[in-house]
Amino acid sequence: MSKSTKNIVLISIIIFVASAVSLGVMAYQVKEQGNQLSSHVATLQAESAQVESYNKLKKISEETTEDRDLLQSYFLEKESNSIDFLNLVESLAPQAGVQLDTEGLDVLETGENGAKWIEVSFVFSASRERVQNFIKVLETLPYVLRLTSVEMDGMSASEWEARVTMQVQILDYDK
Amino acid sequence: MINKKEFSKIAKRIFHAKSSLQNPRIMNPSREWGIGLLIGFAFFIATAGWSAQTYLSNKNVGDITSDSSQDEVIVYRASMVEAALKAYEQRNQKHQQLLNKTYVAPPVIEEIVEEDTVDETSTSSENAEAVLPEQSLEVNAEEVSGAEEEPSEPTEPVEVAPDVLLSE
Repeated sequence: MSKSTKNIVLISIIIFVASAVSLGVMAYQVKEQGNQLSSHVATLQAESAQVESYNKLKKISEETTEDRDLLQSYFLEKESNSIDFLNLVESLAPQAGVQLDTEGLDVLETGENGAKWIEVSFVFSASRERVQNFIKVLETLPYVLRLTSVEMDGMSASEWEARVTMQVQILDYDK
Repeated sequence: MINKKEFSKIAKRIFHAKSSLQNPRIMNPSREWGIGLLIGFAFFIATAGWSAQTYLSNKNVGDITSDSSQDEVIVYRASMVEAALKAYEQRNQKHQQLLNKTYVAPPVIEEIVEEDTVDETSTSSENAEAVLPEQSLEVNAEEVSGAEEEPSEPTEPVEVAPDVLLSE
């Protein structure tokens, strides 16, 4: 080959290599940026899903405030609220015509799901009808409670005495 | 006898002799151009195909769609809450009925005054538990509760009329 032909071939090879390298670099950059875009989009989607979930939760919380407060009122929020409960029962006793004494107050924790209960025993006496009625009154108190034992004895022909042990649940589900 | 000079001449002839058929060193411009263009075109087609495939695969990456499967499931059992509230409402009503069961509507004041004087002298014995028309709660409450006098004012959960009477 002549010298000019060799020069042309050499220049062509150089240009070809340069073009190939630039093409490779551009292709690599395109791929890398595409991967970054995909990860950013996935992050944005997760964030928007979280925001939407938060908004839904907030809306449900605002709409159900009254119902949840009402449900909460059926529980004792803490152990100190048992005093109010005892005062309530003791105020009901004269209204129901029975003589009431409170025996014992304990805090129990059952193994079912770690629920806490206040266990309290009442002894009250009056006529049989009043005693039975007061037992029903205790059963229907607006609390989450359960009567664990009920004993009723006839002290005399006209006076009956009952001993009731009940458990009231302690729960504060907002915590 | 062959001389050294003649021998070297023969050797040169043998080694430096060109073959009868020489390699053609003719360049065909059209042929060379065709081959070059074909290679370039093939390279172009391959690059174009790769670009198209990359574009189609990443075309929808930037679209942010609300995929419901990614949403956290928030469970609020409204039916269960309503059922619980209804059950406790019924329980509260029954509670009120039981409390009201022992109460009688307040009579005329004059009658109460007269009957109060009568009741104050009566004993708390249940043998005398005749069905009397009306009696004041305060009097009987004092007899029943004895020293444990609780204020008869109702607490918040129990709605009781101010003047409550106890029926026997």
